[in-house]
Formats: sequence, C-alpha cells, structure tokens
Amino acid sequence: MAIVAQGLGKSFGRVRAVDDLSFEVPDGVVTGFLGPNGAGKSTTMRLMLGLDRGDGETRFDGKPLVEHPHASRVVGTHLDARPFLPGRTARDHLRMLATDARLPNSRIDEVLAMVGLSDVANKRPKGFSLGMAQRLGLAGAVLANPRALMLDEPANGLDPQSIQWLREFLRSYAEDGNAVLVSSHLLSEMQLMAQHVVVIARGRLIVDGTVDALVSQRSDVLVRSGDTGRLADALRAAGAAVDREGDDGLAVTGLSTDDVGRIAFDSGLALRELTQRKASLEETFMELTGDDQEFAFGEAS
Amino acid sequence: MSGPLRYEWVRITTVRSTWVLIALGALVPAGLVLFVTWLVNTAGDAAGGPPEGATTGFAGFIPLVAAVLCTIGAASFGQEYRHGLIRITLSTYPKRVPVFLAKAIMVAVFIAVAAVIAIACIVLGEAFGAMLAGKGLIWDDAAVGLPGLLGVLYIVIFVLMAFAISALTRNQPVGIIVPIVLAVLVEPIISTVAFVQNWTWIDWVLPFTGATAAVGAEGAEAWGHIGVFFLWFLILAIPALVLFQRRDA
Repeated sequence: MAIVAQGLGKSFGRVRAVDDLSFEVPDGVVTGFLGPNGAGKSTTMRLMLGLDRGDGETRFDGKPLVEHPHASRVVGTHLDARPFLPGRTARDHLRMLATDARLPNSRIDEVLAMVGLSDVANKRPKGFSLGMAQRLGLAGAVLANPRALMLDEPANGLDPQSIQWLREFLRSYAEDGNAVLVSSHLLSEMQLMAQHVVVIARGRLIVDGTVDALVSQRSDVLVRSGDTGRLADALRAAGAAVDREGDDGLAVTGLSTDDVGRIAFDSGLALRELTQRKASLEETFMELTGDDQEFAFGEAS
Repeated sequence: MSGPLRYEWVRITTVRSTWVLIALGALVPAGLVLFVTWLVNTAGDAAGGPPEGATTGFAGFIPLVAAVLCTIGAASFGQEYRHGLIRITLSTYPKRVPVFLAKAIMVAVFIAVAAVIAIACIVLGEAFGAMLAGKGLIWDDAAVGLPGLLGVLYIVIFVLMAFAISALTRNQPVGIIVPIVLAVLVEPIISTVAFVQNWTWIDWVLPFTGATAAVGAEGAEAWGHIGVFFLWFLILAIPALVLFQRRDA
C-alpha cells in the first residue's frame, strides 16, 4: 500500500515550512525521510496524516486516511518521543489504541513482548527512559499490524543493540509488502536501514530516489599515475569528468574502475593506484543540503 | 462513533486521577455536610439550630461537587494537548467530529454517574450527621426527586463547561479555573450589583447563578434555568468544535 503525497504545503505566519512537496513512499522498502533541522520533516508527516491543516493531499492506498474505516489498520504512527500519559500504564495505553481495530489483549501482550517491555507492561511510564518510551511508541505504531508505518526519529535514545533490532525489524516489516517512512538524523544508520530516500530542505523536495542511485551519483574513481596530464586527456576523451587530486592523482567521475584501468592500459600508462570511492549518505546529504540548514551552527572555535 | 466512544472509555477509566476525583467529589462534600449537620443540630433550637426533622439540604454542596469533578472534564482535551496525545488520538480516529462528540458524551455519562454517587453520599452524610447529634436518621427526600435530578444536571453541565473551555483554549488549568472563578467570584459580584440595581432578570443570564437557583426551583423555572446553563455550554462548545476541526493537532 503505497503512500502518495501530492502538493503538500504549510505556512506558519510568513514562513513557508512546507512548499509544494510531492513524493511517494513505495511498498516493500524502507523510505528514509531526511532533511536538516527545520527542514519541515515533522510538519510534512503531520500534514500527511491530516493532523496539521495545510495544502495538498496524501493518499493511503488511493484514499485520504480520513476515508478509511479503520485508520489504525492503514498506518501506524510514532511522531513524538513520549507519546503517552505518564500516569497511564503501558498496557492501558495500548488498550486505548487497540479500540479502533478491536484487537484482543493477547495482541497487546504480543507487541509488548516484541519491543521488550513485557516486564514493565503494568508500570506507569513516567519513569521510562527515552529508549523505553520509543519502544512503547513503536509498539503502538505496529499494534494493529498496519500496511504502512510513519515514524519520526524512532532511533533517538536507543542503544546500539536496539538500533540494530529496529533496523532489522523495519526492513523485515517493509519486505512483507508494507510501506515504511522513517525520518532520522542518524544518516549512517539510515544508509543501512533505507533503500529509498526523500530529502527535503526548507520545505522543498531535493531528492526522491533510491539510496544506491543517490550515492553513486556522488561516487568517483581515484587514479594515480606518473603522467597525470596524458591520463587526464585520455579519460576526458572517453567522456569522463576529471579533477586533479594532489600531485599525481585524478578524481574521475562518469567511468568505472574497469574503464579507467582499460584506458590507462590502452594509453600505455602505469598506474600507482586505482580505487573506487563511494560517497556515504552523510556526505551526499551534506552536499545536497549544505546551504539549506534553517538553524545552522556558527564557526566552531 | 462506537470506536471513539470505546477509546474515550478506556482513556477516562485508566487514569488514577479520575477515580481519585470521583472519590473526593463524593467524600469531601459528604464529610462537610456531616459536620455541618451535626454542628447545627447539636447547637439546638435556642442557638438557632434547625427545627426538628429539618435537613441541611444537599443543594448547597452541589457546586463543591462540580468544582472537584470539573478537572475530569477539563482533562478530556487539556491532558491530550499537554502530553501530545491528541496526535495519537487523531491518527487513530482521523474524523474529528466523532472524536469531539465521544469526548463530550463520555464526560457527560461518567460525570452523571459520579454526580449520583456524590449526591447519595451527601444525603448519607446529612443522615449520619443528624444521627450523631442524637436526632436519628433524617433522610433528605428531595434528593430522589426533581431537585436531585437538577443537581445531577447542574454538575454535568458545569463539568461540560470546563470541557468546552479546555477544548477552546487547549489548556487544562484554564478549563478548571475559569468555571470556578466565574461561579464563586465573578457572578456573585455581578449578582450583588444586580440586586442593588434591581435587575431581576440577571438570574436568567448568568449561567452559574441561574443554575444554582434551578436546583431550588420547581417546574418551568427550574428547567428554564438549566436550559440557559446548557445554552451557555453550547455557546462555548460550538466554537470549540469548529476550531477543533480547523486547528493543527
């Protein structure tokens, strides 16, 4: 059940927080929702769910959420770090959410066990750590086994083991044919978790595509040779973009390592190094959004 | 509509403060009425005590019950906005009108039951106060008649006012404080001015003053005052509902 957002827009006074944003969250993969602080990620998620009033429309399985008879079976959400009343037990919190789909208590026990909160099911969550609160939020999101998940920064406060569990859980949930949209600032984690990304900055769409395609666009080949001038000419003649790197190096984009090696061989040039350099999602993200941070730090002293 | 009602039932019954407030709303007025009944009955006729067989009257304690229980009404929206739960509620039930109505209905039903319990405890407190003063068990029969019903309606609408104010302002303390301040401070001042000015119609305008008068009145006058009280609730609730549909969660 894909999620299709079309023409989303929202202003707070004179500030246009989300501007004509359209993208799709496909089934079967985890979609990472990325953007600098203040980019409009949380506002976009609230707009998609109809929680915030604004422009545009989001269709879940072809219909706005409000037109589905049981919304909790359509999309599970986890938008706030502590989405519960501190005085209501974890089990009762989930009982409340289970009313829409009329789920039995056994399902509540099942999800509590899944997120590792069985031992504190009857405790009031006012003393829960951020990690435990995130687990309870996730339990609420998956309770009715919805066909889509929308999670805002679900990894915040989780320890490395829990993050790994979350990554595997979300990938498996998506592989079952569900749509999963996850916003996160942990870009290295997102590179491991997501196969598809939507990047926004200042409320506008920057990129909507697969992680592999995004990263490969910014990857290059480093080649070192004793005669960089001749090699550069040969590579350019083959259609590559070439930049000098150090005294004897060239950064080549548009050709594979095999191509560069073959061109060097055909030109009779000996190589000292031939390396495929793959950009990380973080480097790609920084390149894409570098000037679009809403609340940027000053120079580090 | 049944889904939001089930949601509200679980929401309201799984918070400890609901039960604490219901207990306080019944026991504090009951304790007070017991003490007052005992005091006035032991004072005797010569010291201005009541005539034989007279009761203290439950009606005077109704506003106290309402003031305690109004926290439950104000929490219905106030608590959700304070803790961000409103986003979970509206993700689960995206249609906002049924959510608003379910909250109002569940508060009204729950408070009606709590009000009956509180009035029963007040009547018991009166009876035991008279018994402790050596006058035997004296039952306030009015509580099972129209005054008792009007007392329940007073409490329910008072709490619904707190509900509507907190829905309008998205603020629980404001929802609790405003009706209490209006009932015990603002309206008595206006009533005093009205008395001096001989504005006899003022009881038909002021919501809490009129509603208090309703509990001691009969027939059309009683229902008229309660009707005005309910009208004031609607005046607050309708804009609250309109804003609830338009606002960001």
